[in-house]
Amino acid sequence: MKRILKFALAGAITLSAIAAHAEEVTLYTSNSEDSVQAALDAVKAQAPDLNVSIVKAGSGTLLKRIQAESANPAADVFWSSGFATLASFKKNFANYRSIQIDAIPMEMRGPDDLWTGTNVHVMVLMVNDRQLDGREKPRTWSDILDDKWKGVVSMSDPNSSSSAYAQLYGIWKMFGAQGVEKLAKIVATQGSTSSVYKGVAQGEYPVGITMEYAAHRYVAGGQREISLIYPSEGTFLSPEGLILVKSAPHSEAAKRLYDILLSKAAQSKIFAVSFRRPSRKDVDDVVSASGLPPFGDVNVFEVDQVEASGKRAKLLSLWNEAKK
Amino acid sequence: MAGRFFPWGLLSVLCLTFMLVFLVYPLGTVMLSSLRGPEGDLSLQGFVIFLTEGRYLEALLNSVLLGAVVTITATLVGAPLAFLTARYEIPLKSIVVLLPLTVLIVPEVIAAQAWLMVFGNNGVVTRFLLDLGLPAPRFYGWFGLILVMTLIYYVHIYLATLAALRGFDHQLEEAGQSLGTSPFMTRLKVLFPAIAPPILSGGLVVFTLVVGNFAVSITLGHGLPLLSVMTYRSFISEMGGNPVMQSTLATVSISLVALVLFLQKRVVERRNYQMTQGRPGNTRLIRGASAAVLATGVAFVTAMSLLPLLLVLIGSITKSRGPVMHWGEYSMRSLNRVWDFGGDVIINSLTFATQATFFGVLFGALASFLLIKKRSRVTGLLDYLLLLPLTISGTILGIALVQGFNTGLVVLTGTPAIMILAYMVRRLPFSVKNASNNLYGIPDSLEEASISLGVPPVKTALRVILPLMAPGLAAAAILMWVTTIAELSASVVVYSAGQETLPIQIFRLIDSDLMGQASAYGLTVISIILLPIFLAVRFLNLRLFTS
Repeated sequence: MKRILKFALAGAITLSAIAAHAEEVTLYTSNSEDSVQAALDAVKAQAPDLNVSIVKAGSGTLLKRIQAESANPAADVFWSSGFATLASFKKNFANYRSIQIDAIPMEMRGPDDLWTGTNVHVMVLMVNDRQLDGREKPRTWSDILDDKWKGVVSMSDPNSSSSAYAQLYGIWKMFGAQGVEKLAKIVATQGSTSSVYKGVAQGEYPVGITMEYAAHRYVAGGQREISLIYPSEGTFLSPEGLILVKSAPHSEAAKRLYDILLSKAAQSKIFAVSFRRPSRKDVDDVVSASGLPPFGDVNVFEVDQVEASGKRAKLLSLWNEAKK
Repeated sequence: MAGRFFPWGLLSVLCLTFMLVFLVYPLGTVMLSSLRGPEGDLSLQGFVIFLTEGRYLEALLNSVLLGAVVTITATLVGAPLAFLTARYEIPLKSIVVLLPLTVLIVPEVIAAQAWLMVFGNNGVVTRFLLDLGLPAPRFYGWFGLILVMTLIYYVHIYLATLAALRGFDHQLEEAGQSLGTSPFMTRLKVLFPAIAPPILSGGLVVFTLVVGNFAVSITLGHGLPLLSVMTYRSFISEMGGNPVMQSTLATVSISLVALVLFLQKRVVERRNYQMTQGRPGNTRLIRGASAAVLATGVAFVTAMSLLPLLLVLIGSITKSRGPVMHWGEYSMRSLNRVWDFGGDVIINSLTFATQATFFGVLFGALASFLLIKKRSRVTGLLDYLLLLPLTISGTILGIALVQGFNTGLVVLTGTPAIMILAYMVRRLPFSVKNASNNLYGIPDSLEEASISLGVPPVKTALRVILPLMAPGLAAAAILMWVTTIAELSASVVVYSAGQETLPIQIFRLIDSDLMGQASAYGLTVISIILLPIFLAVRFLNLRLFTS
């Protein structure tokens, strides 16, 4: 018995010693596990000595946590959230001009280098053809603002998800306050962004308002009944950014991680598994090889990210009021 | 008097202090903060929100309903199964007696995940039905929750019923029949009233486990509000902020379980029958059509219980592209991924579980010795407090520890210590119970003899009693280690970056809908759990699942 205990203890001590040897950095991320893995693959290739600890939760949750921890930050890097949401938390970010910045187009850069765009989300309707129950496949945003879709269109909660807020803002720009109220009445809100695309893929809901990348994973994986609709009035874009936390505990390692996440190798790798359209100018060939429509073919309804940020509180209270 | 206080009285007080500091104080903190307003003032705001806003009340009702339904279904599966195995010689009996083992060692998160691979998106059965053009059952929500929880929790009823049947004096039944009552009526009027209270107690255990269940609820409960999931979500969204809603929800759960335990005391304990030494009847061999029917039933339950293990094995070597599983095509990619990237997670799991087990068994050995051999008022209170971790869910224990130790004198939040504490406190009742198994059989006279021969009390305990307790302690250590490796609900609340364990990793992968990799990690957990059990049974001849 004693010997067993001694052995176990010795084992535990050796194991923790192995784990401790590397440069530590903490990444708060809201991205799906396979995107995170692709990012970690890139880190492993470019900086094997960097040991990245991951905290995963919704983007709103993590940004609130970074804000709450501002006196004693635990996070180094946060990846990623829509620009509009990022703008509301900018007090907690450090200015950092990445060595990769020349490859990033101007519109994908944050003010004063407070953030850098990593990718652009394209909002789509994800449809499970088998679950339509005789309803006609929606083609436009106004199609789903119809009572026949009540309770069967799934969407994430804009209070905690930045992508859902981008969808909400787009609907407001397009249809005004009435549109928001209608949307709130129609959709079944989910606790997390992943519940939306999982729910559609699993046949729980016929239609979900979600992001192109998330829906396309299922199409690319070979699930035949899943299709993506780019609403004909124009879809909304939500550029997503990466930030360095102000007074990050491991700021040097954090900058290395930041640069790696923006690198061509990482962006191509992340795109290959997760289909997030990269922010870099020099990876278009990778996108066109994937089966996603080229950006030029997608009808975009322009929205102003700065205004979206300013309207956040107002639109969320409108939404919450309508949801009651 | 002083001599009697030292050393055992002092050690009892230390054990009690441990429980007060790491269990009672954190729980008190949670209950108090449910009564605080935004500025720390006394306020019922949390409860007002609970009663009027959101879907909190609906979640409470759903949880109670789910608890009640699963208690009934688990009883309908567990009690007949126990009756059959206790009274009849049936085919497959040697497998049936192993069932509790398989269900107890498969982590809940893996069971839920395995069932998703059958009935969920791209699940084997789902795809099969859809390809035939038939509607597939909607597995999320009530159907999946009830099915999976029944298959996990019927074991508690099965074990309780089996124990009751073994303790029942068979001659009472024979007496009934010799007085002219039919066998069926005798069972109804004599056997049933005697074994009903223990089954009911088992049922209440199931009820509290279902209400507190986190892993299955969050995996399968999509869109159906449940108390445990809402408590976890409030915790996540209030992180760093004002913990009103998480505290309110935790307080509601604690009150609910307290109410149930109160009812149990009032209703069940009054009806307990005292049985003089039970003489169990002989098992009967059954043949013919009824045997076939019964054997089919038993085989069905057996297969359903073993299915998760098999599915996780298949899932881990099935080819997957992103979230889509390609059944029938095989690939080692997912397992390779664990091999390349799972190292840290495996090390975390092993390190935390080993340390928690070490301290847990140390505490268990000491506490069980004090409780059985050195009774006092202090140990009476200790005995009572040791029941507490059984009644509060892992999520609530985690929230309590985080709230209790994130500011003030001792800051533990974010350190490995809080992970180890959470595991340790959660499993203490089992550790104490398993450690005490051998202790009842050790006569006090042995200890007295040693002391009267001049060996000091502590040395006597270490040199005479401890070696006799050793087999019980080894069993306690292995059980604590394997259940800790599988723990999710408390650790997912208290962990911080870099402290991910295997179940947390699986939970995340399921959340991103990456079933192939989740299975590969599941297989890793199961291998880690099975190995020590196998070694213990094979080489140490330990009887792990006797109680």
